[in-house]
Amino acid sequence: MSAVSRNADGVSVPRVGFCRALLYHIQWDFWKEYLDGLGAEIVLSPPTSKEMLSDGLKLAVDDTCLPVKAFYGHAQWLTTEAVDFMLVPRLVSLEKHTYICPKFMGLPDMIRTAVAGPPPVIDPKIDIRQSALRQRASLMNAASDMGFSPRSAREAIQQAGSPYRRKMRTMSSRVKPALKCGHSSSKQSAMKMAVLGHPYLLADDVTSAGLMWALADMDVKPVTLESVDDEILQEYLQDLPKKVFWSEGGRLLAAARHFSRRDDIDGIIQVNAFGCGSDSLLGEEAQRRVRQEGSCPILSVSLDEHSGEAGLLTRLEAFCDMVKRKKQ
Amino acid sequence: MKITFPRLGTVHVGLKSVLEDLGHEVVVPPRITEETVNLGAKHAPETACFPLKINLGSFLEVFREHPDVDMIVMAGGVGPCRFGYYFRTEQDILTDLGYGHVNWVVMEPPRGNLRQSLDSLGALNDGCSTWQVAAALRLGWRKLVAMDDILKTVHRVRAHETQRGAASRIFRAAVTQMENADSLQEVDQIARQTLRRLQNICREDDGDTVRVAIVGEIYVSMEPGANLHIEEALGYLGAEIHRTIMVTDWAKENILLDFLRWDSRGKDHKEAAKPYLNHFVGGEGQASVGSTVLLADAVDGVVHLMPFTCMPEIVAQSVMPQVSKDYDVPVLTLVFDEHTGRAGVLTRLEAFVDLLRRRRRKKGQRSIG
Ligand code: SF4
Ligand code: SF4
Repeated sequence: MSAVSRNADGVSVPRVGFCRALLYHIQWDFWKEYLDGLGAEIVLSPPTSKEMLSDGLKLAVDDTCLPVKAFYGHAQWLTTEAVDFMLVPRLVSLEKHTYICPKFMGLPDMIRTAVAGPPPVIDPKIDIRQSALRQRASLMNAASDMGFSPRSAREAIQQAGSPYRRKMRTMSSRVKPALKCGHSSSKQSAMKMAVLGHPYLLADDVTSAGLMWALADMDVKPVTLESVDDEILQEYLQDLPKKVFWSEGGRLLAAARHFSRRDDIDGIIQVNAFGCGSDSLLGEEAQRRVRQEGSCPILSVSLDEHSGEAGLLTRLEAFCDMVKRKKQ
Repeated sequence: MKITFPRLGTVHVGLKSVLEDLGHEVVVPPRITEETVNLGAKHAPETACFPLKINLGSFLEVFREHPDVDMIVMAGGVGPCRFGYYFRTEQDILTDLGYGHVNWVVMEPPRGNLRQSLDSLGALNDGCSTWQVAAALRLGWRKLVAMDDILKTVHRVRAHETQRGAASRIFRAAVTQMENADSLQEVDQIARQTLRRLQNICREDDGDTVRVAIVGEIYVSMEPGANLHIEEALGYLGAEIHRTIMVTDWAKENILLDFLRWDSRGKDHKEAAKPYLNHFVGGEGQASVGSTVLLADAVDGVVHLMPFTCMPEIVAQSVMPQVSKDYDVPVLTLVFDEHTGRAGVLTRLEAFVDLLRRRRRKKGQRSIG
């Protein structure tokens, strides 16, 4: 019953659904090139809405972290779109000797169980530990499971390049322009704050309860870890007493230290996802290290599905006021 | 050096023996109680894993009585779940609380870095010959194996004991005896005696016994103080227990022979999990699912234990409904943290065992009719 779409030659092409959540915010560029290369018709879920999040809450087990709950909502949305397949990659590792997070490793299975009558879930595995050959085979198999020929699969893989690259999209297109032209009236007084949190949280206006927006409204220029050279982060990471085995968590920890040493940063806002395993330990360590570094003010907020925008706003305002006073 | 280490099930019986034979003074942390839990919860990050909180509370209890303890031995890890990071977090907190003098010997899995593992072993060996070390390890290991055997029997007979609490009493006595045993012969003798005593306290199986498998996260499965003593509670409700992971299984897989990729439970449970969870997700996650599949026919129900926000077990819990449905086996997931009340857990266990018993009788009738 799926709406069959056809390419220029009139050949029908599969509609492939992809969730605009979690790994989308880390790796979409790669997957888009892969799917384009295959010639698939891509159906991307829209930015998270309140309804999608509440769907996700119903489907996920209670204690799941907020971003994964949102992901469930996206998957649910895709089931209503007559897609032929849902592509939910299994991200294991993008960097030597590290993992992303156990939940990324089990995500396709979780979605298969939870989402009612889904289209088949296709789950190519991205894991830097496996040989290049196996990595390639995993992407080839995924393509063949979706009915693409080996030839188009080879081309698509060629075109998409390294499956380990990441490009984080930390701000939604809605927030970006607001930040750029800085709709602030008094440019001089603007403060610069480092905002640290998982990219899929910060980039999502609903799960982050509009945090980026709120900051823009307060004349605060948010800076995220994407603006920091990877080498600098790696250098900090080498310096730690134990290697952090979560690549993304480690970067956040390193960024906290980095920003606390920078003169142009007025404060650090740490955004934790409730129920996040790595945040629960590394968040605390980051705060500790920032305090050890000296006087950079740090605010830690934990976001869950109940965090109302109002409460968050009050805390942000109080923090920004405090930082402003300190600055003057 | 005065050494302590995390308390977990019967681990202390073997570890104390090994460390003492290597010439160290050892302080075994007191039994995990509500107070331990509260103390840990007070000082640990709010959303840290429950086992980390207990572990921290337990160390604090040790330091309260023995401020001169100057070494902590514990296991490390290389992800993907939080376990490997425990010592970093605990070290920071204990340093803040004034215990910065402590040396930490962390047994990282050899897979991470063989040299590091050998170094940490070296740090514990102060002048003993290889032969002495081997003998110490052998004795400690034999104790752990014996305790596992005893515990497995306890899991079974408690459902049939004529006098409530008898099995637990015998078990506790065995722990004490075993701690003090100093030869392999003595260990074997205590084991034989204990097993015999356990056989003598049961009445005959009245055919109404339900069998329950316990799967889940290591710490809350193995440490009664962490799971509100649910094994005892299940036994008193007349349920025989089959716990899928015992101390020696865990030690084999995670510490001793990790570099041989020795999986003492075989690859079966991983294979069995695959249709539902097709990848390793850290900790016991995949094993919880696989064991449920494998045991579905052998037991009447499965109790799945996990700490609040546990990463691997949340993945397991998410796919469990499908396993339960496909294999027609009831699964009860219990989540533990410092706020979990015993009364609530007991009520749920009672209802669950009732359900299993009804199902069992029904099945029995069907097979007769
Ligand atoms: S890293 Fe944290 S927030 Fe992200 S999926 Fe894992 S547990 Fe959830
Ligand atoms: S298995 Fe769960 S509770 Fe245990 S350390 Fe890992 S995340 Fe924490």
